[in-house]
Amino acid sequence: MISVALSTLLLLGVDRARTSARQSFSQTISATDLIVGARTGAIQLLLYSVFHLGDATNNVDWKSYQAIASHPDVAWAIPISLGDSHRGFPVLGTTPDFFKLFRYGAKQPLRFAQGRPFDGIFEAVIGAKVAEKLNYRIGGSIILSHGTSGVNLISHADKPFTIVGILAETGTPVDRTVHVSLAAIEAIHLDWSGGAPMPGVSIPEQYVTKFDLTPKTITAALIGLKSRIAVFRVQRYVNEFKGEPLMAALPGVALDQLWDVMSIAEQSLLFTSAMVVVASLAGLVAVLLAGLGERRRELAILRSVGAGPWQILLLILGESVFVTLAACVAGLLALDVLTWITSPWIQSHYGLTLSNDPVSINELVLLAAILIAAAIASTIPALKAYRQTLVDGLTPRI
Amino acid sequence: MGAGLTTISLRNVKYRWGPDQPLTLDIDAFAVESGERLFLHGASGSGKSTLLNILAGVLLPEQGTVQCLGQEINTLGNRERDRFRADHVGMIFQQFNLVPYLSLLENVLLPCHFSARRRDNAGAGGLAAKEAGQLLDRLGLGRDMRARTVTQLSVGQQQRVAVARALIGKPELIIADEPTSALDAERRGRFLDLLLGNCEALGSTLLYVSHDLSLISHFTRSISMPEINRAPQQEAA
Repeated sequence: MISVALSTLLLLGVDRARTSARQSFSQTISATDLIVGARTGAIQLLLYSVFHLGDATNNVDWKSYQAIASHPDVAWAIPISLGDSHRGFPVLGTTPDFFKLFRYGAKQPLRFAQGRPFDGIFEAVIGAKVAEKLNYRIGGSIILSHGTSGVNLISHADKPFTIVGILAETGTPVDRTVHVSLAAIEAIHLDWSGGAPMPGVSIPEQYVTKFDLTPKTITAALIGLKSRIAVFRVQRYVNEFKGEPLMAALPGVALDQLWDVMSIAEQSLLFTSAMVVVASLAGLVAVLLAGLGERRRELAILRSVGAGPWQILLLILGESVFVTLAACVAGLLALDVLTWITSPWIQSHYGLTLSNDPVSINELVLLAAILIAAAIASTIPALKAYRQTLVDGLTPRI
Repeated sequence: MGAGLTTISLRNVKYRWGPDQPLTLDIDAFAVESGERLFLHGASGSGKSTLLNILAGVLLPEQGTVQCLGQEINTLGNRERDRFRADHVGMIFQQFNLVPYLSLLENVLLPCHFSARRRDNAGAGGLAAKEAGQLLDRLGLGRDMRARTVTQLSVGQQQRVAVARALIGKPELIIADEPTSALDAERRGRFLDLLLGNCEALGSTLLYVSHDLSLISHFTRSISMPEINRAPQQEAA
């Protein structure tokens, strides 16, 4: 019975983790209605703008951004600029509004573990994982590198940044990102052209303020609307924007699409746990079958007081189903307790919010499936008992 | 139970275990009168197990009539025979008579689950439990014993609980299959007295199978298997 309980625990646990992961994943970014970027695929846009993976095919002109940001349905807009990195972590250029307006998970805002948002040009705010992995503290100095691949990057060594803020852990890509201002991105590329420093030109950091540091292009923008109803209207506006080829993606939709791509992994995990359940049910059946030999006298007693072979069959079947039911309930309770105990730790380490419902519809379906499988498997020992009692009658030969 | 009524009557009963097996049972005539205490002597291989199964309605003979309490049970369907057995027959085995995961009272009350008639005889509802308790008292298993589990009882005590179970609800026929073989010699006598005394009090017919010939004196009649079974004796399986 313990093995059935454990395997139920496993199956339900996997299912719960899977649905929670999916939910958490789709809440990597919440309260953002649209993501605007150059025209590519929605998944790609999502990957580079939210997960900072891969590169944008094209940029968005600053003027286009301003036009979109001033659309009457738009409540707020956060421009973001990507392309640089720091020791493998992506660098995000954005406005201080980012820290106020960005939401994740259950509409949670970003919190500062230490420090404050950037103010001056060469100030940086780093995510929790960056601080942890590289052992950074407020006041530390970092150099950004050009490009996002891990090797052979040219660095912007002449313009170091000071860390002024460290964000609290979120379990989202924010943790692995270094945040700087848009002006800073412009500043470090002032004496660069086409992705490399211009030979013979060098603009030291104290002079950057003499230049206009408004960005010419950005990589993407996160848009919040005044009303959800306007989302398709604004999306169409962006898609049909006359200035340059742009697209607006709904983060939720794109996240779901991305998740489906990864669904092979979760399906196989589910399949494996289902096999574990099957294995433990087989074990239960084996134990029952083995026990039948020992119970021949007991069954003969029942026959002698008037039980028929059919009743014996139902008895064995009923015992088996009952044991499975008890095991399922035990497994479910164990899962609930386990979830309750470990979920704060899991949330902060993996960004995965495990649902706290004692049982969900999906889980009930799985439990029902386990019981049905057990009932079917139990017909084997039940039938054996039936045949056995027909032969034994009142006088089993042991 | 009127005197002189036949409790059991077998006529021309034949049984074999498989289509190409030799006959296990070939009984021309066998009868047990009501109220009799019959000692049936049978060694293994004599066909006594098969006979017991047929008398209890568990097996059907391939030929012949099995009359029990006026009913030809060989004409009844499976379920009806099971019900007949539940209603009218109490059985005591040689050992392992009790269901280990039930309490003593539950063991005694088992027949009442399967037979409405015996349940009613014992007393509906909570009265049956009281009746069970009284039976156990009469068999020397008082209230303080009753809380024990099956495994905590000695063999002799278990056998006495089995007697209580066989007797509850006043079935007309008691079949005892070597119930004293597992007891030591001094307990045997006491056990037999208890069993016979209670059967007589209820007016039940007792069919006692054993190969301990020293007990014959307690019974009204004795008969051996080869006398009634014409089939050749088999080697024990």
